[in-house]
Amino acid sequence: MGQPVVQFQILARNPDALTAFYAKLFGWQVNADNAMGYRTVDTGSDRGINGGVWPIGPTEGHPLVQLFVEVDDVAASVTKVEQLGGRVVIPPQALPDGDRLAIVLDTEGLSLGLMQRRV
Amino acid sequence: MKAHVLTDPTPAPRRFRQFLQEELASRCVRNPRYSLRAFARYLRLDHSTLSQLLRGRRRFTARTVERIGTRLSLAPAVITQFVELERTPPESWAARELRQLSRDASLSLAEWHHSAILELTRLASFRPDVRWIARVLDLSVDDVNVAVTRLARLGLLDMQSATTWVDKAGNAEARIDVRSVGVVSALAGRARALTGSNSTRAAHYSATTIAVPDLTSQRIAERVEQFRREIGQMLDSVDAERDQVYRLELAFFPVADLSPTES
Repeated sequence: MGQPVVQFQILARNPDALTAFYAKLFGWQVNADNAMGYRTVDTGSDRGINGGVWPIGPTEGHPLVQLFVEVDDVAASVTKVEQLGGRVVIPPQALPDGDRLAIVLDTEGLSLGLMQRRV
Repeated sequence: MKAHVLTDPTPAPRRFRQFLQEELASRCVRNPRYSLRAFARYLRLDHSTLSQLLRGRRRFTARTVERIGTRLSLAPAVITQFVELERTPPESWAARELRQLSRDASLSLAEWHHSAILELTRLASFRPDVRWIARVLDLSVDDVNVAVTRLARLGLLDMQSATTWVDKAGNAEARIDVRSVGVVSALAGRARALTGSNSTRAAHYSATTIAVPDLTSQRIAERVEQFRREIGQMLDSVDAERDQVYRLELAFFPVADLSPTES
């Protein structure tokens, strides 16, 4: 069985304005009450995936959307990414809630999140 | 979750490593049970050597390219092209990486809160909670998260577990080449390697954000002032024409107060 896409993430220079936009447009609920101050997005639907919004600085690249794929082992997946021609942007990190993630680039240079849920 | 990436749409020429990665990927597609070890056996390479080559941890020598290319039945002209490419420094990749590295490193040093965040991780009272960090440093949560992302991307911050963040930067002290693109960080050595720069003029940058007992702060400030006076005295004692102008900056100031407040 393949690995599932479990969430989307939007990188934004003005996260508050962005989340307000989507809340009004689609009725998405945003909650940042967690140790990372991460703006989780609940679409309120039982279909599709939920997501989140992460801030970027004014001089950093450009806003974009990333997909997060759930894996069993982030470190092993990162090694496989490099073997297959991708690159690591952010090596495996542990989040305060126990999940682990890494950010990589695929062979097109598109960024992708790898997510390992806490046991 | 934190994430950021800068993507450069300018394609670089396909190098032998990329070709080999694609060859492995296509073999895996044709046979889902195909493995790196199987590929290494076919190429008559040790599997750990192949892994290092594919991950960019090891360079392709001309001989290696020729051996593997022949084993994969590549045309001699194609093998020659790959050999030539391996001899050419990956400038476009290096330029992209250096731009991102320069930007990250420059911002990490220009914006004080990066080193302040790292210093906080060394304290016994540290809490791996961005909201706490923001409160202590009087910053917005977003500013902290942008900095955390940058530090993780630079490899200066390692979030090892749910409760442990590790400062990998140490003291940000480095000698740099003044012809470099303005990177002043503990990663200046990597920047020099990417540019191939070898100028002998050098600058020196020292910076550290440190936790101190309040009772030592005045002594430290006095030592900073004494150092500045010593530099001046040394220059006065040197009998030579002053033909270079340098900037010397010394700063010592508080960024956070973690002393218990009286209720």
